[in-house]
Amino acid sequence: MRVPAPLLESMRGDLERPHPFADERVGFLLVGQSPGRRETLLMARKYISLPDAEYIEDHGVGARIGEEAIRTAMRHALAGEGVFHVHMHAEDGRPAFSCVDVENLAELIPAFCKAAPALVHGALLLSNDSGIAQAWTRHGDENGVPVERISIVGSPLHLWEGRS
Amino acid sequence: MTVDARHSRQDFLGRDAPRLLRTLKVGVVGLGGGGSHVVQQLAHVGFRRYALFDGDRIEKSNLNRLVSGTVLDAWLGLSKRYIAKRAIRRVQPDAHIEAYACRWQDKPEALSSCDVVVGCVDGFAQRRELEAAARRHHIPYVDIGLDVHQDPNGVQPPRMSGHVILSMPGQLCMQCMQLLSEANLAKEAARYGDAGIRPQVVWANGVLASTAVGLVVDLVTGWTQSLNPPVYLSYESNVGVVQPHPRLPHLPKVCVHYPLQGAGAPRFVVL
Repeated sequence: MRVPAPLLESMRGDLERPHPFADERVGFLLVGQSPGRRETLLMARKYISLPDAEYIEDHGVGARIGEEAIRTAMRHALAGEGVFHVHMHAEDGRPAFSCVDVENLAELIPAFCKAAPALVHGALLLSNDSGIAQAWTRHGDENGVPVERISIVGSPLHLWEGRS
Repeated sequence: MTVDARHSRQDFLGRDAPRLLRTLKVGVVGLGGGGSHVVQQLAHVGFRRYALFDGDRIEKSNLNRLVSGTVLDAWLGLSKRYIAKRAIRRVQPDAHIEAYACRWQDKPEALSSCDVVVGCVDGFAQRRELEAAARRHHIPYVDIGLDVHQDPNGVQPPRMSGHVILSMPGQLCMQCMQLLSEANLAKEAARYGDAGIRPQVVWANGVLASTAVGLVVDLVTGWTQSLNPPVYLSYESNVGVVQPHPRLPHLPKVCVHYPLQGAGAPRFVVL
């Protein structure tokens, strides 16, 4: 996955904003794709920020988003965009999806794959200085596969290797 | 941590530099006067992964500038790819090198898998195509070019000038920087078949190649902490000066030619 540095900055800027009741914020990253024989390249195109009103109050999780947010993302998938759920853990170093993340994403992302099966969809998790991503395809593992590398394309370039 | 003795004099590039130089893949399109310099320097710096594109063979007329090309190479008619690979392997024997005789357009996956691309091509149309491909795949693109302008009246001495440009995804492109324009592309198309022999010399190519490699290393390592695109350097060889192009302060702030939403394979949208 390749993410231009200015786009990453705008994602962080949005995700770091406090929410009236949610501990975390969520957004969606739209990606273009370039399938190849050995690898599929994902190019981050646009970040979709979710308005405060599209969150559901649930203090058992970091953030819960409502149906309208999911419909917004689904419309983009149907329009031919790869959709990546994005959120952030406020910590340093390589982050890890929590058990709640894994459970919820395993339910959400395959729905995008059913709607737009020709594309790769997934989830991107950021920390203060790093990130990881998981990708789902129509016929793949129900828990997705790690994105092998995330390149932040700026000056300088940054590489986040997917496999530890 | 063991520092490779070969690179002990460049540890100012940062602790992570050796890993980055080993890991990142550089594409070099054109292995002539400029590209042969670029490839040699990249190898010395420590890059290990390459995708090289050039279908030509060395001729005697290339010997004034094709770095590491020899009289024997020209007599044998070796490919420029072979010469470039040889130059790399002399310094990086375990480098992973993909070398293509075809046009890069015929091996798009090879180009798109690169982390940085350096274009050492002739012509505005080639530059535009390469930059467009790099933008589609969010790849930083470094372009170098040299030209010699002769006074049609034969009064003034020739003027040799060149450029090095860094085109970054989401930032100003070569059209924004006015190196490429519809006017100069049209003029070039009208001259097709009558391009003539373009003067080229090793020292000027060397200046441009060294500047380009310096940019690539800074892009990869961040060692100067001051690389701030857009980067458009102009080279006035007659006076030996490389400096930011005077046009820079007057350029637009945003690129309208390559929006980020255009990245990736084209897709059909229902209207």
